[in-house]
Amino acid sequence: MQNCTDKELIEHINDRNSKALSVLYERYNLGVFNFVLRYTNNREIAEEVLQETFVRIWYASHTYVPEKGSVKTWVFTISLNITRNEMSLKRYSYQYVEYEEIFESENNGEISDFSNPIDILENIELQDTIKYAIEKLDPFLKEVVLLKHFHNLKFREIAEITSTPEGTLKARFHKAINQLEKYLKKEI
Amino acid sequence: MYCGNKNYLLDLYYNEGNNSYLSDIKNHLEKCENCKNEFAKLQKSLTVLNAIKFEQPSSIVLKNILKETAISNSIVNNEVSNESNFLNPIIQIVVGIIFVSLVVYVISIKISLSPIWNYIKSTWFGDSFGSIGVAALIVFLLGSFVTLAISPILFLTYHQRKNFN
Repeated sequence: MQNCTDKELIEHINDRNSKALSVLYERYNLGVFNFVLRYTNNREIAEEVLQETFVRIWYASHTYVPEKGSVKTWVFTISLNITRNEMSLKRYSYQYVEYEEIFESENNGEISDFSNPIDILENIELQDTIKYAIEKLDPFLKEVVLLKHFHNLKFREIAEITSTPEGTLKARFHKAINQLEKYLKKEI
Repeated sequence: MYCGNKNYLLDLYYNEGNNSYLSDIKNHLEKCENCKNEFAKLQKSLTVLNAIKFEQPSSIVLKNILKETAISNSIVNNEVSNESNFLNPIIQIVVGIIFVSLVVYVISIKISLSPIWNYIKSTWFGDSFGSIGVAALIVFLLGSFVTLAISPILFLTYHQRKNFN
Protein backbone atom coordinates (compact mmCIF):
# COMPACT_ATOMS: atom_id res chain seq x y z
CA MET A 1 0.00 0.00 0.00
CA GLN A 2 2.90 2.35 0.84
CA ASN A 3 4.21 2.02 -2.72
CA CYS A 4 0.90 2.86 -4.35
CA THR A 5 0.57 6.09 -6.30
CA ASP A 6 -1.92 8.68 -5.08
CA LYS A 7 -4.36 7.68 -7.84
CA GLU A 8 -4.15 4.02 -6.86
CA LEU A 9 -4.81 4.98 -3.25
CA ILE A 10 -7.95 6.83 -4.31
CA GLU A 11 -9.10 3.69 -6.16
CA HIS A 12 -8.53 1.63 -3.00
CA ILE A 13 -10.40 4.22 -0.94
CA ASN A 14 -13.21 3.92 -3.44
CA ASP A 15 -13.28 0.21 -2.58
CA ARG A 16 -13.70 1.21 1.11
CA ASN A 17 -10.14 0.39 2.10
CA SER A 18 -9.38 2.43 5.22
CA LYS A 19 -5.70 1.44 5.13
CA ALA A 20 -5.40 3.35 1.84
CA LEU A 21 -6.94 6.38 3.52
CA SER A 22 -4.35 6.12 6.32
CA VAL A 23 -1.54 6.07 3.76
CA LEU A 24 -2.98 9.08 1.94
CA TYR A 25 -3.31 10.81 5.31
CA GLU A 26 0.36 10.12 6.07
CA ARG A 27 1.28 11.79 2.78
CA TYR A 28 -0.83 14.91 3.08
CA ASN A 29 -1.70 15.51 6.72
CA LEU A 30 1.26 17.79 7.36
CA GLY A 31 0.63 19.81 4.23
CA VAL A 32 -3.09 20.25 4.78
CA PHE A 33 -2.76 20.86 8.51
CA ASN A 34 -0.05 23.49 8.18
CA PHE A 35 -1.81 25.17 5.28
CA VAL A 36 -4.97 25.58 7.34
CA LEU A 37 -3.02 26.41 10.49
CA ARG A 38 -1.24 29.29 8.77
CA TYR A 39 -4.45 30.34 7.04
CA THR A 40 -6.49 30.49 10.24
CA ASN A 41 -3.75 30.70 12.89
CA ASN A 42 -5.98 28.45 14.98
CA ARG A 43 -4.88 24.92 15.82
CA GLU A 44 -8.35 23.74 16.73
CA ILE A 45 -9.86 24.83 13.43
CA ALA A 46 -6.88 23.39 11.54
CA GLU A 47 -7.43 19.96 13.12
CA GLU A 48 -11.18 20.13 12.45
CA VAL A 49 -10.57 21.01 8.80
CA LEU A 50 -7.94 18.29 8.46
CA GLN A 51 -10.38 15.71 9.81
CA GLU A 52 -13.23 16.97 7.66
CA THR A 53 -11.00 16.94 4.56
CA PHE A 54 -10.14 13.27 4.93
CA VAL A 55 -13.69 12.26 5.85
CA ARG A 56 -14.85 13.99 2.65
CA ILE A 57 -12.14 12.21 0.68
CA TRP A 58 -13.50 8.93 2.08
CA TYR A 59 -17.09 9.65 1.11
CA ALA A 60 -16.38 11.50 -2.14
CA SER A 61 -13.51 9.43 -3.54
CA HIS A 62 -15.71 8.42 -6.49
CA THR A 63 -15.93 12.09 -7.57
CA TYR A 64 -12.19 12.40 -8.16
CA VAL A 65 -11.43 12.75 -11.86
CA PRO A 66 -7.73 12.14 -12.68
CA GLU A 67 -7.97 14.13 -15.92
CA LYS A 68 -8.88 17.27 -13.98
CA GLY A 69 -5.71 17.31 -11.89
CA SER A 70 -3.49 15.56 -9.39
CA VAL A 71 -4.68 14.07 -6.12
CA LYS A 72 -2.62 16.68 -4.28
CA THR A 73 -4.51 19.48 -6.06
CA TRP A 74 -7.82 17.75 -5.26
CA VAL A 75 -6.94 17.36 -1.58
CA PHE A 76 -5.94 21.01 -1.26
CA THR A 77 -9.09 22.10 -3.13
CA ILE A 78 -11.23 20.24 -0.59
CA SER A 79 -9.33 21.67 2.37
CA LEU A 80 -9.43 25.21 0.96
CA ASN A 81 -13.19 24.99 0.39
CA ILE A 82 -13.76 23.74 3.94
CA THR A 83 -11.46 26.43 5.34
CA ARG A 84 -13.23 29.17 3.39
CA ASN A 85 -16.55 27.88 4.68
CA GLU A 86 -15.28 27.81 8.25
CA MET A 87 -13.86 31.29 7.98
CA SER A 88 -17.04 32.65 6.45
CA LEU A 89 -18.85 31.79 9.67
CA LYS A 90 -19.32 34.81 11.86
CA ARG A 91 -17.38 33.38 14.78
CA TYR A 92 -14.16 33.36 12.74
CA SER A 93 -14.39 36.64 10.87
CA TYR A 94 -11.33 37.86 8.96
CA GLN A 95 -9.31 40.66 10.46
CA TYR A 96 -6.71 42.12 8.17
CA VAL A 97 -5.33 45.52 7.41
CA GLU A 98 -3.72 47.10 4.39
CA TYR A 99 -0.12 47.50 5.52
CA GLU A 100 0.69 49.75 2.62
CA GLU A 101 -1.50 52.42 4.13
CA ILE A 102 0.14 52.11 7.54
CA PHE A 103 3.76 51.85 6.54
CA GLU A 104 3.85 54.28 3.67
CA SER A 105 3.02 56.99 6.12
CA GLU A 106 5.55 55.76 8.71
CA ASN A 107 8.40 54.78 6.43
CA ASN A 108 7.76 56.84 3.30
CA GLY A 109 7.16 53.58 1.46
CA GLU A 110 10.83 52.60 1.49
CA ILE A 111 11.78 48.96 1.76
CA SER A 112 15.12 48.01 3.28
CA ASP A 113 16.75 44.63 2.70
CA PHE A 114 17.04 41.91 5.32
CA SER A 115 20.61 42.17 6.53
CA ASN A 116 21.40 38.73 7.94
CA PRO A 117 18.85 36.04 7.09
CA ILE A 118 20.75 33.22 8.83
CA ASP A 119 20.69 35.02 12.19
CA ILE A 120 17.07 35.87 11.67
CA LEU A 121 16.13 32.26 10.89
CA GLU A 122 17.44 31.16 14.26
CA ASN A 123 15.26 33.58 16.10
CA ILE A 124 12.12 31.91 17.33
CA GLU A 125 10.39 35.23 17.78
CA LEU A 126 10.71 35.81 14.09
CA GLN A 127 8.59 32.74 13.44
CA ASP A 128 5.79 34.21 15.49
CA THR A 129 6.18 37.53 13.73
CA ILE A 130 5.97 35.89 10.32
CA LYS A 131 2.97 33.82 11.38
CA TYR A 132 1.27 36.93 12.62
CA ALA A 133 2.12 38.81 9.44
CA ILE A 134 0.73 35.99 7.29
CA GLU A 135 -2.39 35.86 9.41
CA LYS A 136 -3.02 39.53 8.77
CA LEU A 137 -2.82 39.19 5.00
CA ASP A 138 -5.93 39.44 2.88
CA PRO A 139 -7.28 35.85 2.47
CA PHE A 140 -6.69 35.81 -1.30
CA LEU A 141 -3.08 36.89 -0.84
CA LYS A 142 -2.60 34.44 1.99
CA GLU A 143 -3.89 31.50 -0.07
CA VAL A 144 -1.43 32.00 -2.88
CA VAL A 145 1.60 32.52 -0.59
CA LEU A 146 0.80 29.46 1.50
CA LEU A 147 0.06 27.16 -1.41
CA LYS A 148 3.00 28.36 -3.49
CA HIS A 149 5.78 28.88 -1.00
CA PHE A 150 4.99 26.40 1.73
CA HIS A 151 3.42 23.60 -0.25
CA ASN A 152 5.34 23.81 -3.53
CA LEU A 153 2.30 23.77 -5.75
CA LYS A 154 2.74 25.12 -9.26
CA PHE A 155 0.90 28.31 -10.18
CA ARG A 156 -1.07 26.21 -12.67
CA GLU A 157 -2.23 23.95 -9.85
CA ILE A 158 -3.10 26.88 -7.57
CA ALA A 159 -5.08 28.32 -10.47
CA GLU A 160 -7.11 25.07 -10.55
CA ILE A 161 -7.61 25.06 -6.79
CA THR A 162 -8.68 28.69 -6.51
CA SER A 163 -10.29 29.04 -9.96
CA THR A 164 -8.15 32.12 -10.59
CA PRO A 165 -5.97 32.98 -13.63
CA GLU A 166 -2.23 32.42 -13.19
CA GLY A 167 -1.39 36.05 -13.92
CA THR A 168 -3.70 37.24 -11.16
CA LEU A 169 -2.15 34.74 -8.76
CA LYS A 170 1.38 35.97 -9.52
CA ALA A 171 0.30 39.59 -9.04
CA ARG A 172 -1.28 38.62 -5.71
CA PHE A 173 1.90 36.80 -4.73
CA HIS A 174 4.02 39.91 -5.32
CA LYS A 175 1.55 42.04 -3.42
CA ALA A 176 1.59 39.60 -0.50
CA ILE A 177 5.38 39.50 -0.41
CA ASN A 178 5.54 43.31 -0.43
CA GLN A 179 3.11 43.50 2.47
CA LEU A 180 4.96 40.86 4.45
CA GLU A 181 8.27 42.56 3.74
CA LYS A 182 7.01 45.90 5.01
CA TYR A 183 5.57 44.37 8.13
CA LEU A 184 8.65 42.34 8.92
CA LYS A 185 10.99 45.30 8.40
CA LYS A 186 9.14 47.16 11.08
CA GLU A 187 9.12 44.25 13.52
CA ILE A 188 12.72 43.09 13.11
CA MET B 1 11.40 41.65 -22.85
CA TYR B 2 11.41 40.77 -19.15
CA CYS B 3 11.90 44.20 -17.57
CA GLY B 4 8.81 45.63 -15.91
CA ASN B 5 7.23 42.21 -15.46
CA LYS B 6 8.12 40.59 -12.18
CA ASN B 7 6.24 37.37 -12.85
CA TYR B 8 9.13 35.73 -14.62
CA LEU B 9 11.23 36.18 -11.46
CA LEU B 10 8.81 33.90 -9.66
CA ASP B 11 9.11 31.32 -12.42
CA LEU B 12 12.89 31.41 -12.03
CA TYR B 13 12.82 31.24 -8.22
CA TYR B 14 10.41 28.31 -8.17
CA ASN B 15 11.90 26.69 -11.26
CA GLU B 16 8.61 26.68 -13.17
CA GLY B 17 8.86 26.42 -16.90
CA ASN B 18 10.97 24.60 -19.47
CA ASN B 19 14.76 24.78 -19.57
CA SER B 20 15.04 27.21 -22.50
CA TYR B 21 12.61 29.64 -20.83
CA LEU B 22 14.54 29.52 -17.56
CA SER B 23 17.93 29.89 -19.25
CA ASP B 24 16.56 32.90 -21.19
CA ILE B 25 15.64 34.51 -17.89
CA LYS B 26 19.06 33.76 -16.43
CA ASN B 27 20.74 35.31 -19.47
CA HIS B 28 18.58 38.37 -19.08
CA LEU B 29 19.47 38.74 -15.40
CA GLU B 30 23.16 38.67 -16.27
CA LYS B 31 22.68 41.65 -18.55
CA CYS B 32 20.08 43.62 -16.60
CA GLU B 33 21.18 45.07 -13.26
CA ASN B 34 17.68 46.17 -12.23
CA CYS B 35 16.15 42.74 -12.71
CA LYS B 36 19.12 41.13 -11.00
CA ASN B 37 18.58 43.33 -7.93
CA GLU B 38 14.86 42.62 -7.97
CA PHE B 39 15.56 38.89 -8.03
CA ALA B 40 18.04 39.17 -5.17
CA LYS B 41 15.46 41.09 -3.14
CA LEU B 42 12.80 38.48 -3.85
CA GLN B 43 15.17 35.68 -2.84
CA LYS B 44 15.90 37.37 0.50
CA SER B 45 12.24 37.95 1.26
CA LEU B 46 11.27 34.39 0.47
CA THR B 47 14.21 32.98 2.44
CA VAL B 48 12.94 34.72 5.56
CA LEU B 49 9.59 32.96 5.14
CA ASN B 50 11.40 29.62 5.39
CA ALA B 51 11.84 30.29 9.11
CA ILE B 52 8.37 28.86 9.64
CA LYS B 53 8.51 25.20 10.56
CA PHE B 54 5.77 22.69 9.94
CA GLU B 55 3.80 21.57 13.00
CA GLN B 56 2.33 18.12 13.66
CA PRO B 57 -1.43 17.66 14.04
CA SER B 58 -2.74 15.71 17.03
CA SER B 59 -2.85 11.92 16.61
CA ILE B 60 -6.54 12.02 17.61
CA VAL B 61 -7.37 13.40 14.16
CA LEU B 62 -6.41 10.19 12.37
CA LYS B 63 -8.22 8.11 15.02
CA ASN B 64 -11.38 10.13 14.48
CA ILE B 65 -11.13 9.75 10.71
CA LEU B 66 -10.66 5.97 10.99
CA LYS B 67 -13.55 5.78 13.43
CA GLU B 68 -15.73 7.49 10.85
CA THR B 69 -14.59 5.11 8.11
CA ALA B 70 -15.21 2.11 10.39
CA ILE B 71 -18.80 3.24 11.00
CA SER B 72 -19.47 3.64 7.30
CA ASN B 73 -17.81 0.28 6.57
CA SER B 74 -19.94 -1.50 9.16
CA ILE B 75 -23.10 -0.02 7.65
CA VAL B 76 -22.03 -1.10 4.17
CA ASN B 77 -21.13 -4.59 5.40
CA ASN B 78 -24.46 -4.91 7.15
CA GLU B 79 -26.24 -3.92 3.96
CA VAL B 80 -24.26 -6.44 1.95
CA SER B 81 -24.90 -9.23 4.45
CA ASN B 82 -28.56 -8.26 4.65
CA GLU B 83 -28.80 -8.47 0.88
CA SER B 84 -27.14 -11.87 0.79
CA ASN B 85 -29.00 -13.38 3.74
CA PHE B 86 -32.48 -12.24 2.92
CA LEU B 87 -34.54 -13.61 0.08
CA ASN B 88 -36.08 -11.28 -2.46
CA PRO B 89 -39.34 -9.54 -1.40
CA ILE B 90 -41.79 -11.80 -3.29
CA ILE B 91 -40.32 -14.94 -1.77
CA GLN B 92 -40.32 -13.21 1.63
CA ILE B 93 -44.08 -12.52 1.32
CA VAL B 94 -44.86 -16.08 0.20
CA VAL B 95 -42.72 -17.56 3.00
CA GLY B 96 -44.39 -15.19 5.46
CA ILE B 97 -47.91 -16.21 4.42
CA ILE B 98 -47.03 -19.92 4.63
CA PHE B 99 -45.41 -19.38 8.03
CA VAL B 100 -48.35 -17.41 9.46
CA SER B 101 -50.85 -19.95 8.06
CA LEU B 102 -48.92 -22.80 9.69
CA VAL B 103 -48.81 -20.97 13.02
CA VAL B 104 -52.56 -20.27 12.82
CA TYR B 105 -53.24 -23.89 11.91
CA VAL B 106 -51.06 -25.30 14.72
CA ILE B 107 -52.51 -22.91 17.32
CA SER B 108 -56.08 -23.69 16.17
CA ILE B 109 -55.45 -27.43 16.61
CA LYS B 110 -53.91 -26.87 20.03
CA ILE B 111 -56.80 -24.61 21.05
CA SER B 112 -59.41 -27.09 19.86
CA LEU B 113 -57.73 -29.78 21.98
CA SER B 114 -57.29 -27.75 25.11
CA PRO B 115 -59.87 -27.55 27.89
CA ILE B 116 -59.73 -23.73 27.69
CA TRP B 117 -61.00 -23.95 24.13
CA ASN B 118 -63.96 -25.95 25.30
CA TYR B 119 -64.77 -23.15 27.72
CA ILE B 120 -64.32 -20.45 25.04
CA LYS B 121 -66.39 -22.46 22.59
CA SER B 122 -69.29 -22.46 25.01
CA THR B 123 -69.36 -18.62 24.96
CA TRP B 124 -70.49 -16.36 22.08
CA PHE B 125 -66.84 -15.40 21.43
CA GLY B 126 -65.80 -18.90 20.38
CA ASP B 127 -68.93 -19.43 18.36
CA SER B 128 -68.49 -16.33 16.27
CA PHE B 129 -64.79 -16.80 15.49
CA GLY B 130 -64.21 -20.50 15.56
CA SER B 131 -60.83 -22.00 16.43
CA ILE B 132 -59.08 -20.65 13.33
CA GLY B 133 -60.44 -17.17 13.97
CA VAL B 134 -59.18 -17.09 17.55
CA ALA B 135 -55.79 -18.42 16.46
CA ALA B 136 -55.56 -15.70 13.78
CA LEU B 137 -56.47 -13.07 16.38
CA ILE B 138 -53.75 -14.33 18.72
CA VAL B 139 -51.17 -14.27 15.91
CA PHE B 140 -52.26 -10.75 14.90
CA LEU B 141 -51.96 -9.47 18.49
CA LEU B 142 -48.57 -11.13 18.95
CA GLY B 143 -47.36 -9.70 15.62
CA SER B 144 -48.47 -6.19 16.63
CA PHE B 145 -46.69 -6.54 19.94
CA VAL B 146 -43.43 -7.67 18.33
CA THR B 147 -43.59 -4.90 15.70
CA LEU B 148 -44.09 -2.26 18.36
CA ALA B 149 -41.30 -3.72 20.44
CA ILE B 150 -38.74 -3.58 17.63
CA SER B 151 -39.93 -0.29 16.10
CA PRO B 152 -37.28 1.85 17.90
CA ILE B 153 -34.58 -0.40 16.42
CA LEU B 154 -36.09 -0.10 12.94
CA PHE B 155 -36.31 3.68 13.34
CA LEU B 156 -32.67 4.03 14.38
CA THR B 157 -31.43 1.74 11.62
CA TYR B 158 -33.37 3.76 9.03
CA HIS B 159 -31.84 7.04 10.19
CA GLN B 160 -28.36 5.57 10.34
CA ARG B 161 -28.68 4.44 6.72
CA LYS B 162 -30.16 7.77 5.68
CA ASN B 163 -27.21 9.65 7.20
CA PHE B 164 -24.76 7.31 5.52
CA ASN B 165 -26.36 7.84 2.10
